[in-house]
Amino acid sequence: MLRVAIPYGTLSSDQLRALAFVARRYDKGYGHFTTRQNIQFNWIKLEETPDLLHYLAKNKIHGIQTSGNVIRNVTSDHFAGATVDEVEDPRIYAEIIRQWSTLHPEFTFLPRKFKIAVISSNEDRAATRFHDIGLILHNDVNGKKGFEVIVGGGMGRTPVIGTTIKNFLPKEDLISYLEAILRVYNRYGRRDNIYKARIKILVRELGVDAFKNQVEQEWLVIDRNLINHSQGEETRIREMFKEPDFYNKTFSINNNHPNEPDFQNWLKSNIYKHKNPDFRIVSISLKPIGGIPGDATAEQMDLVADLAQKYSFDEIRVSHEQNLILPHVHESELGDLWISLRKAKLATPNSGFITDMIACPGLDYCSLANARSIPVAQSISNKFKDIAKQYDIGNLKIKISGCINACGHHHAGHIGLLGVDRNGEEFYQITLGGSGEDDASIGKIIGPGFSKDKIVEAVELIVQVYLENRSSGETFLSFYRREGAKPFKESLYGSV
Amino acid sequence: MAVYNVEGIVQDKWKFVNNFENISSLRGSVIIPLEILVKSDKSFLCGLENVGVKLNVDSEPEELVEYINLLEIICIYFPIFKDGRGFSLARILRDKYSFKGDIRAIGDVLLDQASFLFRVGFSTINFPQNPSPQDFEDSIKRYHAVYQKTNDAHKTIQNLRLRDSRR
Repeated sequence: MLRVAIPYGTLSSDQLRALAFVARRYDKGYGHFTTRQNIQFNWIKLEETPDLLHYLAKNKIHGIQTSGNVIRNVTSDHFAGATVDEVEDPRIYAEIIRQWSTLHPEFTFLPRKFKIAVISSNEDRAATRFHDIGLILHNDVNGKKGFEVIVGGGMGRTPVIGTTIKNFLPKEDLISYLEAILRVYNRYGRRDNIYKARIKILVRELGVDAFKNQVEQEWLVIDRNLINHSQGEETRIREMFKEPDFYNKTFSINNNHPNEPDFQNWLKSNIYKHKNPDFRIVSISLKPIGGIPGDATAEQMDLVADLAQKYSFDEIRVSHEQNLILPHVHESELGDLWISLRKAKLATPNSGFITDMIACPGLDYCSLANARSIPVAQSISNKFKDIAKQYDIGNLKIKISGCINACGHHHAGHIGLLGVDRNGEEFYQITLGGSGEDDASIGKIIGPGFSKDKIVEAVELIVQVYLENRSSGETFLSFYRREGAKPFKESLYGSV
Repeated sequence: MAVYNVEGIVQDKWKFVNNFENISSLRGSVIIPLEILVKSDKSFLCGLENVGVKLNVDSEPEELVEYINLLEIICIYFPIFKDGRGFSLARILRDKYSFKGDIRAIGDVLLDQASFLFRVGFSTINFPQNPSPQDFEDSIKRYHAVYQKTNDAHKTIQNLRLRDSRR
């Protein structure tokens, strides 16, 4: 498997075409977008890898630090630079961190992998609190910009919601403070047991206050003038992320909005508010009914690249929920865009609904997995294919991991499914009530797991319990938070 | 075993001592483990031309403070290449304790790590695998541009951009 880094999930049309080329020339014609805004190719021949990497490098793409005990690809909000609710485009800082963390001489042999996410809005679309370091940009009372610094979140076998160790870190001090955190982690993170080597365990074993204290002590002796990024560089980077000249092109004036229900559904579910009232953010679903979550064919990638060039100022985003985003689409062009997407099976109107699942590659591709994720996701998708039913169920996030490493974010799923191996048979444990957003929570195991033949039925039952007992307007998550596990347990396992 | 500084192979005058035996009869340039230096009375130091200390990657530099001015060299022993604590330790010795002598990486260090080691403050590396001078040079020149500001002579990419923009 080759994992290719897509920093903060941002691609140009040319870069996406390069990935399409790799899929076609070096793989079986498709790629898999991941929960870390990256792409993976599963059928690369080892002997062709040097040529492939050379080709990627020519297109300014690489796979450095997508594996190993290093600072991994920095992730961010997939609506960055387009959403109404942000303080500033968080990718400016994600890029500063990308530069700092690339081949860092001191932090390339860490106790374990290290993941950083940066956002700048109240709504958390990047599972920020589940990262080794989560950074939330905000303004203080004087209008100065700085970060809330959250440390020690993570999924894996020990899911933890990160803890805030600093409410306001002036943005100028970002890199020196990260350096202090990483130095404390590099020196004191456990190296005797890889399952206890993430920073979350260090924070837990030291206690948050002691950890924070060590970081602050370290930060005091760091030469901040030397280590911090320069304001000149920040300005240069800010320029790279400045918003496109929205009106420097002509838009179709025919307002070709198809009169079909599918289009109306798509408008309702896959279109998000843009900071410019004439524009929309479009989510391109990589979750067709019965499909493999996050997979895209080379043809689909080429098409999205073309559409981004035509309709979205040459920009594409990869979301951690394994969809593609066109961040800047003029309202008048939504109809034309939809017609093109539909032809390529890219217009499933299910963004945020039950069939918009996260699933890891699972046993089909991954040597660590205990169970398959993809066929379970496909069966659930087929079971709930009726779009009216999906809309009735409302916002419901199912997240599926094929093993305890939790690449499918099951801990953060409203319904989480974890594949386990029970005497050579694939079983699935169900957790309920997780959330990866600003109201982050870790799902709780509901009871004994279900075999692969029973798991879809169990999910259906859970949804049924919600539908029959919810109050008006109540989402699945709020219902669970109000009622707890009891009604679900009774329905799944009988009265207890 | 070849010892390199950033320019190439260097002569090695140092002798490692690993126990207390005959400590008072030691002569010449000697590297002593930190725990021995801490526990012994310091009279044996009089017989020595030069003194160095050997640290483990988990040593606390605070223990070294009172001797640091005596030392010409500090060796940091890597039990395995992927134990990156030694990188931070070297950085701390340079930045926090302003140690100006030789800091040498010993133990399981890889040629691929040479550039990283020099950049965090190591001045010499004792490679167990005895690389050729050509391989060494190829390794440290592999990445000609760096992003991070450290205390070495590398110009950062930001510096280079600034320079280019002023031309």
